Amino acid sequence: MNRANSFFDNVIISLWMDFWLALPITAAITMSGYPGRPVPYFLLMLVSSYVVGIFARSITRESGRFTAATLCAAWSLIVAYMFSNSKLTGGLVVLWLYNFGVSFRGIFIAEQPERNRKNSAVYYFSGLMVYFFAYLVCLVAPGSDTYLPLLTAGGLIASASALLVVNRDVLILASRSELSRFGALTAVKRNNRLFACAIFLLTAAIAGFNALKYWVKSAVKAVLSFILDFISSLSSPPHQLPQEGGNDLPEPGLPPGGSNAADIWGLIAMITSMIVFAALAFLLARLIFRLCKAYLPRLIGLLTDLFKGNAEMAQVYYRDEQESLLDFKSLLGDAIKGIRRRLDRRKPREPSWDDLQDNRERVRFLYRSVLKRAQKEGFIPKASRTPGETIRDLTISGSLDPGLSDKLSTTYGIARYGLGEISDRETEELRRQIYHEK
Amino acid sequence: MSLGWFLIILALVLALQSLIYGRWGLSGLSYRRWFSTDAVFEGEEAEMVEQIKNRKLLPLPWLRIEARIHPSLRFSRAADLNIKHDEFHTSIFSLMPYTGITRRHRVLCMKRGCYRLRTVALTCGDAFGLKEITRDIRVDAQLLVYPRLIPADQLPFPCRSFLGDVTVKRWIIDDPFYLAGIREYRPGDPLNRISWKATARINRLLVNDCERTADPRVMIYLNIDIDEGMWNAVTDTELVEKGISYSASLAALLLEEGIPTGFGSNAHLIDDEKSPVSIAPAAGRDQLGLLLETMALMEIERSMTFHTFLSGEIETRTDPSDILIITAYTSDRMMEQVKRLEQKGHSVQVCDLGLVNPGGEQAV
Repeated sequence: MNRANSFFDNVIISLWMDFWLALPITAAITMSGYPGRPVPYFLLMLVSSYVVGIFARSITRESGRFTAATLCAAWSLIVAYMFSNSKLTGGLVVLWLYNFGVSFRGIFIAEQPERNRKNSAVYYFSGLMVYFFAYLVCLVAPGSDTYLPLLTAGGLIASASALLVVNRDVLILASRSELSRFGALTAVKRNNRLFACAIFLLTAAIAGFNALKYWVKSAVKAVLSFILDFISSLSSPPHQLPQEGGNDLPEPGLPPGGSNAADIWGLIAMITSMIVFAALAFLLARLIFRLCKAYLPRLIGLLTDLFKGNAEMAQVYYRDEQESLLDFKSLLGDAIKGIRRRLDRRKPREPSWDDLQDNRERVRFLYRSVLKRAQKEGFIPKASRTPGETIRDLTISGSLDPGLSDKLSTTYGIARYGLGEISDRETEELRRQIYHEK
Repeated sequence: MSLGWFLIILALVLALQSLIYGRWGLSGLSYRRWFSTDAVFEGEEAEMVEQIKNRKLLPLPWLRIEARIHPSLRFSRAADLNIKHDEFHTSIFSLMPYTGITRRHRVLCMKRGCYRLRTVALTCGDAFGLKEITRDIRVDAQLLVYPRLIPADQLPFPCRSFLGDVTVKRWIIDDPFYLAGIREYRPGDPLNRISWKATARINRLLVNDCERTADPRVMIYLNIDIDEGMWNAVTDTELVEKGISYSASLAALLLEEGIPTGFGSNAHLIDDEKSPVSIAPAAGRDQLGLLLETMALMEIERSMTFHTFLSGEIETRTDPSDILIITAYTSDRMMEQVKRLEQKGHSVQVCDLGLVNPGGEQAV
């Protein structure tokens, strides 16, 4: 499984991505250099060179690159010659070199033990950018109308594939695991695939909003008109065919003779052929059913292992228990707290007693409330006075009980300037005395 | 739908999601890590539990949690490969909105010690590798691994012999103040034990049967110095670990017999590099727990020389005790201290680890 995984990851993914990303460039070259030749032929030629490059290097791994390169050069020449209709022109040389470059890419893929994941995002997203510009070039190239749907489909496939491949590489790097153990990350892979699909669909929905709107409108219109026609057909009487030339009915008579025998044999032939056809269809269906029954479970298992990973492997590492934290009450509470925090940032409000973090803040809060209360009663604090002097002034003015004055002064001094601790008991007692004073 | 527009919007969406994850990826996350038990014995398994909660609407495509873990904590067979370079353990999660995951790892504790997990690094990013953010958080998980307990028959001879002596001594010394009952006279019984009243009643010679003396006290001293000229670093930690194992096994066996046992060593505890280890003898399960915990917390590093340590113990230990010294070497200076201990009424035995062969028998 490790070798299969490695082959899939290294060779298949590289081939797939290079194919789709190079599609518009290939199409542009074909349309401009060989306007009469179909683009798929060109693609097929390039794919064959790519595969030959991989194969040639795989079988000549022990020796240097020269042997593989020679094989690739020969193959590239052959296919280029065939594509250019056996004409020895400058175009043939260009074609040969292009094919050779593609097959060298195949050699390179076969040589590397695994794909370079660190630059995966840069490589594939740059590839999409190149695709974008090449697509624009194709739009203005002559004869591009035929291939626009192919290029659009290719672009969508390339985008979706790039998202999935980049995501795969990001996960392998993030998990610090090797490819063989990546199969155990079943939940992680599943969630990420969903996420990548969501991004793709969201982009498609935004980009194709008008098209979507048109399709939805057309679909709704079609359904509504069908319903209306159905209802109107139920309610209106059956139509009578108009008759020409008065009310004369055709005279009853014998059917035309002479062709009865041919009709019967034709009927028999038709029935026989229908029976034979039905029998053949039945046999074919039975064969397909048996093949599916025999091979479909295996195929499903293989695809499951390939795409979902081996869940049993994950259990060897650890055991996960998932829980939902969706609690509407706390959600609402969190939302209210968030709104309040945002409003506080715009318009700062006075902290309440519950917002205070420690006893120092609480004592300072108490001093401030005494001061505010005295201000409401007409006391005017002087900015030049220290807090101790202000407390004395409050006592003299009658806004503060003399018995409380010393205590408040001492405790406030510690809270504001001192290093000592203020106990909860002291704070609570002070608070009670201040709020019950009057 | 124009493909050009599709690609442009795809680029914008990817950029936007990377910004969102860069800003809010790690918010609303809470993480805890703990062990399923406070302590296990060497060679046993424990469970390390991780709990991560995502309390926000933003799903996390991937979240990596890395922590430095001692290589002596081995994770389950296939997953110990997650520990790269012998030190880092990596867990990867994927969290949907308002979801919590509790993950349990089986851990095999290969070596005695105190394993503390202080901080972990949380890293998350978007699904396409465009943005990654990291934060360190504090976890404070601790696991004590007690030394392996060795069965009595596998202890080295000096330890077995010491164990036997102490246990038997308990049963051969009579306590004249506690009477168990009356029995027939046997030749050799002291005449002052004869119970005359009972003898007169029964008309046969009967003696008082006394309870056994009830107060043997044991101190096990472990010397972590490998030789007398050792500078500072202990070079043969395997030997010292063996000594710790013997000490723990002996202590467990003695405490099982109800014999008050204490422990001392010139090593130090993990949180106190300057003080040696010294636990006074006591009995009971709590004492066993205390001794095992102390031995788990011990670092194989010297706080002072064994000579200095033993001198201090000679001064402070006033109650006569049975003392076993487990050491990798013996020297004249040590023997002098042994004599001083014996002069003070202690009974001392020495187990030289250097002479114990792999089978546990003392070489002659």
